[in-house]
Amino acid sequence: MDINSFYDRWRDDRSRVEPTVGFADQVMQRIAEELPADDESTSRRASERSRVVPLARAACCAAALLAALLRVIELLSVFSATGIEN
Amino acid sequence: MESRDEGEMNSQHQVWVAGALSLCCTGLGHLYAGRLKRGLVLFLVSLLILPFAALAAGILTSTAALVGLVVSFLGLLALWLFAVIDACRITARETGTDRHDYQQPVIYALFIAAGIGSPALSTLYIRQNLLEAFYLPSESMAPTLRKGDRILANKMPGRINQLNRQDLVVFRPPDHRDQNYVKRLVGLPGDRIDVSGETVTVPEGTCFVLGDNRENSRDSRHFGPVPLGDVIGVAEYVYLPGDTWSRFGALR
Repeated sequence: MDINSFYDRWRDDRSRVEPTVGFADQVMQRIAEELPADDESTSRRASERSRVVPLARAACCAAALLAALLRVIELLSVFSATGIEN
Repeated sequence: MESRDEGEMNSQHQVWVAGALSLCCTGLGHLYAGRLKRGLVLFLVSLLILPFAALAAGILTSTAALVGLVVSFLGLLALWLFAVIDACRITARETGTDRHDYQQPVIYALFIAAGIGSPALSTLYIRQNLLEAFYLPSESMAPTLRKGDRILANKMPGRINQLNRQDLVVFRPPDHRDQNYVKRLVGLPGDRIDVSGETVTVPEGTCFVLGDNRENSRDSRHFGPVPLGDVIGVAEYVYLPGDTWSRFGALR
């Protein structure tokens, strides 16, 4: 038997193999495991996010206001007078 | 599908971010909103307006130039407020989610650093090279300058190197070099001055100064001539009079 006939026979055998019992269930189970977490943990994460995001936003705005105040003070220092002694 | 919608929502620009960035640096909110040209123009104008106004006040030496300096200062604050409101308005109207190459955290960080650092550098440059503000706590220069007056001294090299008699000079006195005095320049090198019945010749490289209020002034009659190198400026403006606003303006 030459190598090509051997290959053709091997390929025919493989194409007739039936999947094992429960193969489809196993595939579906693996997919479920790979999917994002269930509704409970998703809602918990969303609730944490809804608490953290406004805080982060307020912190950023406060930092921006501080930076603005610093800039105004820097500009006003043009007119900040040094004392003359006599 | 849900996650894709959420992703699109997050990629849209937010009004509060545009406002916060504009507060940190004039024009940065416009860069965030995708208006590069307008943002850069606002940034450059806010950077240059005050040094140019100070330079003009140093060269022109007129009340109009002092008014221009004050107006440019107020204009700078108004421009900043406009930039904040305009960036918020543009961001609120925006519907697209396009991103530009310059909208990177590194670029934002650089502009924030420039926005906070540039006013400090700008005022430092003005105070060291163009105009410096001084406060008078005494009447030694009355009636020209009154107690409580705030004045601006011209520190431009071109002005300090061309002193004239009758100029009001700010200097470090020879016996208290850590202090600043302001007096009227009455004698340049080579001048012969009559002080209390005695004729004095002003030595080379120095000047002779007297307070306008002769009875209540410590001046060259006490510490001698002042080296010209110790003159740090020429008082040109009263920007905040101690008594009445009628004395606001150029000293002439």
